[in-house]
Amino acid sequence: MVEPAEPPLAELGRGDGGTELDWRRPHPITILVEIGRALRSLVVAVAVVSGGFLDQSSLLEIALIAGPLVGALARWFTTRYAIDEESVHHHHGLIWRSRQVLPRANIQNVSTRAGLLARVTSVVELQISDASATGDITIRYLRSDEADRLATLLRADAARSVAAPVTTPEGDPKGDREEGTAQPGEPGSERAPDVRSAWPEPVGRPIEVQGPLVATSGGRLLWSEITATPVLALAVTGVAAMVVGFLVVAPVGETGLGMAALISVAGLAGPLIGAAAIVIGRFVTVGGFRLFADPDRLRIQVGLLTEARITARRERIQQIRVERQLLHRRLGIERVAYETADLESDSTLGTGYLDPVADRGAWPALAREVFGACDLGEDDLRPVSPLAARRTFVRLSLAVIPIAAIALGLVPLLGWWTIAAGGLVIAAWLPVAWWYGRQRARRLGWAMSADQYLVRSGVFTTVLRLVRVDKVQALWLVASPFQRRLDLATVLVSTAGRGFGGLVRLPDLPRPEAEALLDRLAHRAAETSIADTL
Amino acid sequence: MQPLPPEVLRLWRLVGLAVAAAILVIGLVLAIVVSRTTEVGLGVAVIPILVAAVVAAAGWVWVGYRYRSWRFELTDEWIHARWGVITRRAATIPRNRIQTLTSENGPLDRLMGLTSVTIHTAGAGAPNLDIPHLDDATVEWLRGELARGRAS
Repeated sequence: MVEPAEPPLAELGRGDGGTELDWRRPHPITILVEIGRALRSLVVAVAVVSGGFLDQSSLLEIALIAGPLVGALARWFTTRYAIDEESVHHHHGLIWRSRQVLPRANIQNVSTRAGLLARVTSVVELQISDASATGDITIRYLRSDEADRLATLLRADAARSVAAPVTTPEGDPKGDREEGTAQPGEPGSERAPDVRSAWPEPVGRPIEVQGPLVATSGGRLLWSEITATPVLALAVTGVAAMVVGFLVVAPVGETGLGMAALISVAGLAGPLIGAAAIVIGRFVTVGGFRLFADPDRLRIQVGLLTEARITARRERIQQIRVERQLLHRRLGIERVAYETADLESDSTLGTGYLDPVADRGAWPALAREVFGACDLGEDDLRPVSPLAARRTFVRLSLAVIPIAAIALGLVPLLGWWTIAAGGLVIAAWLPVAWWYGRQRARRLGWAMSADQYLVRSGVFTTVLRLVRVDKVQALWLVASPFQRRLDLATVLVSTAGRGFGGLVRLPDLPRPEAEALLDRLAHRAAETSIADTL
Repeated sequence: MQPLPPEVLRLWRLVGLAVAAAILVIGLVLAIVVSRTTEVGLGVAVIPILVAAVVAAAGWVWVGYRYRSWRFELTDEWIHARWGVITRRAATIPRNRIQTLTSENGPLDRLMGLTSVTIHTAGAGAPNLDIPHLDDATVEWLRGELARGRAS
């Protein structure tokens, strides 16, 4: 292999359509390292063959031993990489050939790694990460000094990508943008502030001067956890098990009263122990919660036994989530949490609470603290299509089919009365499905301002999601056959947040409205530099 | 919006026929084994023939619908794609949100000059946008456009 002359760090080839790229292969020692990694299979193969468990045909022996050797050679031969002024290029694969192109401006992190065998042979694996979960480039294996040189060059790109100025599509710095510049069809555009000015002025009080913004008392937290839906569900399950045990299992098993009581207590104990474990676990984990607001970040102290101190940079926060569980709605309690892009290597959590036991309706104040402004409230929510109720009812009604099938299937075993039982179940299920459909349609809602997007959903647990529009990464429109028949569609919005599953879902909008919403979100997202979205 | 290259329809139908052929071969082998080891006659071989025929016919029709459902376009602001026969999907990714572009092709793809493209974003929980079987010239153009758009 011809050793190339050392090019300046900033110049590693040109990339005009790929024809002048300075393609390089990994170090030839990669072959040995790959063979070494395959030693495990070699050892197994040799053991199997020599142990006589397989027919010792020479062809099989050759295949088992030569396979890893040929594979390592083929992988090295078909792997190439190149770095030009704009991108990192990576080719690999023999049968399925893959080519990755990662723009240098998108590089978030560059790291090197070396296993034991690689360290012995003085080669390292270079990993170049972008902000996506699946687009990383891994180059195996490079000489240590070559890898360090590339890492130094590419880390400079990563630093530049974080510090990139906010620009409009025309390339002008956003500071030149006129206040209130409207985009066509954009509501509330007269209130469109500059992204950077949306961050709060020093509202954050230094901790040394002022106390926490939020401090949760133990009693209030405990009450919140005891009345949480999962705990209530377990408690109800336990009571039901106790009743069934006493009234049904014991008589059927022809046991005495003492044994019946024991069975019923056992039925109650399991779920209650589970509920207690949840309450205690949550109390220990979330107890002592305090939120401090600094000008550029939020600081959270949480935990009774092990205190965790979490720092969340404000500009990394992607989404605020408000959760109101069934009983909490009656008690006037809600949980307010945030989600970050969690890209820093020293960040340990993608989500955290802003307030685990907030008063109902307190979330806009917390949103203002995080986002600098809260343009939207529940009063601004627009409903989805009234046909959403019908669609939900139809979907839930499909459960009638398996219920009827089970009832008919049990006839040979238990007699014709199962049909009556199945009919009763269906008769009870359909009104519930109808009620649930209406409730779901009533609670679904959305609102959008120039900078923010709010979605509400949920029947038993109401969830509000507030997203900064400039944090949007991708948009999806989905229409199932049911939805197409009713001219409905679901809008999905993804941000770089890692904690809540990533997607904000708004189902059952009228299709024209869904397309218009998607269009507005896409336009707004396209105006924002990628550096400000992470 | 532009469709996928016409070679894609041929490729998908070829794959569908290959699957039907595989079902036929495996089914016939099983039928022969069953007929020789049990009392069942060789007439059982009709089953895999019928199954393979149904798979081939259904696949042929399905592939046509699937091909016609695919459309994509690249504008100055975003890349937009729509697809799906039963559940219809559309994806819009602003160009300045694209993190990486990965392309991949197998032996059959290379024979027909096709490459599949995956567009990665930082969106968590959202699947990447996979555009199947574009011709190589379109992939190169897409790659160049996206690199230029991101660097500006």
